[in-house]
Amino acid sequence: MKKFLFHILLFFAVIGAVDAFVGLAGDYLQRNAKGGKTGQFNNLVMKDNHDILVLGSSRALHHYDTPFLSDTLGMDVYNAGFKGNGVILACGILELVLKHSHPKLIVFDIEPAFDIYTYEDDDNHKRYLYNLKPYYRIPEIGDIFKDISREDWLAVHSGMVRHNTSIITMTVDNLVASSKDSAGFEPLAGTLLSETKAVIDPDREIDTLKIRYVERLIGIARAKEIPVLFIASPKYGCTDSSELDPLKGICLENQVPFLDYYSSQEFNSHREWFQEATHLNATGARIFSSIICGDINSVLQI
Amino acid sequence: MPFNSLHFWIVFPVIFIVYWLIPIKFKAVRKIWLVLVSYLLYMNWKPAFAMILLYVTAVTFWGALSFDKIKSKKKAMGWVLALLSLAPLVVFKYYNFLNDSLTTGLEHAGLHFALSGLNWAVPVGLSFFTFQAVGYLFDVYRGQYAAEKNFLDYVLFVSFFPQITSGPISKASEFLPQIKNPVPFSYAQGKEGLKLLLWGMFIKVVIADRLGIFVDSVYANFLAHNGTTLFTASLLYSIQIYCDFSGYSLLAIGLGKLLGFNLINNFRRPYFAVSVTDFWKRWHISLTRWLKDNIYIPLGGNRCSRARCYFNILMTFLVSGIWHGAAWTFILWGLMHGVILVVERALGASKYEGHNPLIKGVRIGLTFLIVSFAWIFFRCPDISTAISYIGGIFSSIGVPAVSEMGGAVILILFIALFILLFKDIREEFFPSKFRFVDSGVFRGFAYSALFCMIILFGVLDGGQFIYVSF
Repeated sequence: MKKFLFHILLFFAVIGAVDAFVGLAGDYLQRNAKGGKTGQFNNLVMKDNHDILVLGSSRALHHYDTPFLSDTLGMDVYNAGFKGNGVILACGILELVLKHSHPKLIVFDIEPAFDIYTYEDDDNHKRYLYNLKPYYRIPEIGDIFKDISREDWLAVHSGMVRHNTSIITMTVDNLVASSKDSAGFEPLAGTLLSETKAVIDPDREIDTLKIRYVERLIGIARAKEIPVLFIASPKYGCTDSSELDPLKGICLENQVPFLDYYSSQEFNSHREWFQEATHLNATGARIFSSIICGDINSVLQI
Repeated sequence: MPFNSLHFWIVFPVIFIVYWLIPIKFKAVRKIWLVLVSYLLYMNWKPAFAMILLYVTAVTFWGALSFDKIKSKKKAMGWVLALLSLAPLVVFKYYNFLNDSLTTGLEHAGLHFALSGLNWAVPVGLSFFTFQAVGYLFDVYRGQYAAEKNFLDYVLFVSFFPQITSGPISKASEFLPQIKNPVPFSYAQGKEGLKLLLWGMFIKVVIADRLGIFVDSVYANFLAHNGTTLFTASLLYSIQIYCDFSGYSLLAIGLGKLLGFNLINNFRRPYFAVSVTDFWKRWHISLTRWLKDNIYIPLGGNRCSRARCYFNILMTFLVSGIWHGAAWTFILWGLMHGVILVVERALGASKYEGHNPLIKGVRIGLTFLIVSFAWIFFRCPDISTAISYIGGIFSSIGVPAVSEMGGAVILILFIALFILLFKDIREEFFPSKFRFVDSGVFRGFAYSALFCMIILFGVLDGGQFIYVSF
């Protein structure tokens, strides 16, 4: 048994050394990325100044044509939407951005599954922390970790856990500077082929943690006197937006403007503007962006 | 508590150390410790589930003892006990399915009759521990194993935590003697256990869970993808489910070895099978053995007319399908396998004992395609979705959307799948070649590299094992 335990300790000593090296190397690669997703995200949260910041899920990422919005509004608009993410990551991003920058407006696009209700793939909300791992030492981000998962807070001290999956991308992003500059926006190609509609999970419930983070997002922006605009972008075939009611209530309570295009008739009968039921394609995104320009202007003039 | 969660790996060293600190002469204390740990870990899913586990354990234990006392009407007693033992499985897992199917059937006949459904969660591992306990009951009934008289030993047999949620389904004859006669710690067995844990975790979190992200996204939105992507996703699902389930089995076997127990090996490189019959000798071996012992052979096996033998095969695979889940997709999946086995037997294509690498390669490829096709029914929520998915495969040819995974993930999977293929090909076809992999230096490097790959490239969210839901 002693030999067995000694060999295990020896093994973990080697792994510990590798872990420390990977941690240091990963942190360096994260800080010094020339481009790609790593550079883009690091610049967003550590360096860049944008007039308007769009936050939210993949629906934000694919629906807000930020180059078009920048040209039309005459302001620097950046799309910081993240696939499979929502208000928890948005709070983290906003905390980091506001440390060095002061946007004129925060636009938050709502996806009920990520921002209001329980979602089957949530995994205790831990997945929303993934992009924040490299910044865990910053107190505000550390607080979010501790609030959501103490276990992840401990695990993220490991260099390999902290840079899990991202080390290859970070290495490439240090070697190659991506020239693509679409202000974060990722347009979708293709058209919805059949009459499918977004499916609502019948077992879902209101997720109090997400609701708390919606309030936290409003609070973070309010503390810096930055207006927030909540927008529910369209879904194909959606004729009822009552599932947004809990969030509308919070906005009303906090006197935050809320724009509901979720079941907008302008969109829900135009299949050709959607890539699939929950995502607009590039054409749909351009049309949607042109519509909300006026809304953004109105909020900025208040 | 899943074996791929951080919580489990914080708890397990305590279980391991306390277990081995208890002197072997106090073997009852060791058993009590394992029973306690097994129940606590099981209750971690949902405390009430332990009542079902205890019920199945008690019914089969006392039932088996009663066979010794009752000389007449043993058969009737056997039926009653089997039904009592299987009752939780039927109620929790199949009630809603039976109710829905009956209601729909009656509606087609113009009759409106509906019972309210049950909104209960199915206890984790119910199918596994019920089959293990019922298998023991049948063994005692047939006189193949003497009824266990020590309740503590039997409780541990049914509830042993490494195997309770997803098997392997052990036989009393191979596992109960190990419980009765605990062995002192063995360095070799412990090392073997750690190797299995490492490999099981690697194929689960680096391969299965990584592939799962892509496969799930394609299956969830298959109408938006071209046929080539759907075909690719269906093949990748075959690899995902293999790595997921065999990964779990290896973790269970590895944990067992660390505690001094040897559990049955559940997989033997199933995708190198030369026929679907051969596939079932390599896939979920413990379930196949259970079905053979308790369904196929009691029905007459192959010692009967050809037609009866075919019927027996179909019935066995029907039970296999139903065991996997309460849905028509699983029933169809099971029957498909049954029909293919019947066809192979009728054509004499169940085996290939030749050495022509071309014929062998074609048979392996064809078997993999057939099995992957059947997995589509297994993966889809209902038969109409599965048929639409299959229709989609043939609808259009295009570039498979694997780029959705991202370059880094594709590279990770490429490396991981290369390692998996190298290991499996070597073990299957060249067990005496590539001796360098047996050297201590190589092994030390390989174990460290696998561990680092798990942490660096694995999906570390403690995601569920597919078979836990069965």
